[in-house]
Amino acid sequence: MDILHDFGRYCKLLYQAIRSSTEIGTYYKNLFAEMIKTGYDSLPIVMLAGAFTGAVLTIQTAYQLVVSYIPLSTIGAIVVQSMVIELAAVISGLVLAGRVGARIATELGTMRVSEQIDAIESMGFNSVSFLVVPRVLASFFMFPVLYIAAATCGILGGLLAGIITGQVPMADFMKGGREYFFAWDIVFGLTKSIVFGFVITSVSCYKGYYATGGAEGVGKATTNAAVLSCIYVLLTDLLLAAILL
Amino acid sequence: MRNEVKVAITIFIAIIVAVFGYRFMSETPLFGQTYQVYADFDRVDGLLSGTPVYMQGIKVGTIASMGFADNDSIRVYVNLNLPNGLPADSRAVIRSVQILETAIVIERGTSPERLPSGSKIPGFYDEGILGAVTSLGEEIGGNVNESLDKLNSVFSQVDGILVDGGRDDIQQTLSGLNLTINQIERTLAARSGEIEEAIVHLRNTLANAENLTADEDESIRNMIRNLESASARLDTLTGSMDEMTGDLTEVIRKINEGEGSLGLMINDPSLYQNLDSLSYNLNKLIEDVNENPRDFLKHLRLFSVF
Repeated sequence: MDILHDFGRYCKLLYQAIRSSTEIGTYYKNLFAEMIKTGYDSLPIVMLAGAFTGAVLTIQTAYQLVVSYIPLSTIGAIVVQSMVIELAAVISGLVLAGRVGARIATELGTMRVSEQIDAIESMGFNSVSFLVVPRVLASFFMFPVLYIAAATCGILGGLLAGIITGQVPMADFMKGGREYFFAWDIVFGLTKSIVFGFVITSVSCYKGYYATGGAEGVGKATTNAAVLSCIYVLLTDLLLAAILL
Repeated sequence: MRNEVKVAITIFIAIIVAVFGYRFMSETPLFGQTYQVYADFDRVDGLLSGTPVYMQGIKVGTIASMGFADNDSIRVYVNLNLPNGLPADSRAVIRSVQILETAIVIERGTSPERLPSGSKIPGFYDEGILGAVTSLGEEIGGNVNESLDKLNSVFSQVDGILVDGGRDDIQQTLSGLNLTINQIERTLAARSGEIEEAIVHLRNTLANAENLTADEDESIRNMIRNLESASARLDTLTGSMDEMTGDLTEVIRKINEGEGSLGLMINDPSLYQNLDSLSYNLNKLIEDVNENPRDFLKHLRLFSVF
């Protein structure tokens, strides 16, 4: 019953957000601030995660592919396609679930328990339009940017790791990577990143917006937001793979 | 810097990275328009978007996209890195470039006229070595299937024999064989003393024969020498007889030819006639002597005779 109650409130919040998305004047300033916090500030961690993921993937794939009749270009193909289709979106999604999700839930939760949201409402502002819409909308614009950064750094990291360790020459890596580089994979990755951004920010907004119980409630809302965001990222990843591939 | 500017720069850089990254990975020129041609094929086994395109052995581009054309053939768009374009009579062939790699190979034409981007070139499918191997494999597969069918039939026949009482027969044969072996074993065990004795006797006999041979060795050698000598003498005798035969042959030849006294005597009828006449005269004389002894004895005196 609680699940249904939560789901109903979540849908109601989304409905209010969609309905108030036309009030650009209300959230315009907040939108860019959120885009900076969500996207620009997250770039270093996402690029780092992507680069290391690509590097590890190259080394581990080279370690596993010991059979002589499998060409080295296969490693490039595996790394590039894995980064583009899956890892760039999911790794950045999981990192951002912790970083962005926790921040949003904490911000909104604190505003809720300190009755700032009630104050906004009492001043005649639409709190959803003011707080939720810019955060969710910012993810639509910035998560694809973060995905591109993660994928690019992942491929470069994998290439660099292959060259430095001497396991995969650049020519072989690029040959394999180019051979299995398809436009649809990028579309799929970008779609995933947008969906993950929406899931993370909307769930975190919901958890923060409806937080109760003072500082403890805010902490609980933050934890729930981060954990649920991670779970929903993985669930939607599975769903999208089943539907789109 | 204002937030809007930061966001704008971030998104702008992301778009540039995405576009250039995509063009770089797709091996299309980073700047300028792509030189693209297309060809229709009946089938495109083993080809994917991004598969390399070769011309005269070097990679000149990749497959951009594939899809069905209006006439149900497969239309393949190819991005080429050829600044001067393709000759108008060039054509595209799908063939195996390595053992397991199929690719589009552009066969460059000789026409001075160049094809503009977006043109169509004729496409052909060449099965090549892989096709030959595939057909051979299919043939071998058929033979293997046939062999397996026959083997299966043999097995089912054997199975049938075994099921239809053959198993009992084999078991009986085996038990009979077992019995025979047991009997042989028993016989051998019972007669082992005799067999050993016979072997000892045989060994003794052989030893005796050996001793005898050793004792009489000189005699046997002498005998052999004598035999050799006799054989040599026989050879000489045979030679002499040969000579004699030759002489006799010569004599007979001479006789036949009427040479010599004997020849004349045998061959000349006058001698016979003389002898015959002589014999007749002698008979006549004897008759005369008998009839008229006085005529012949009247001149004889007794004393003269004795």
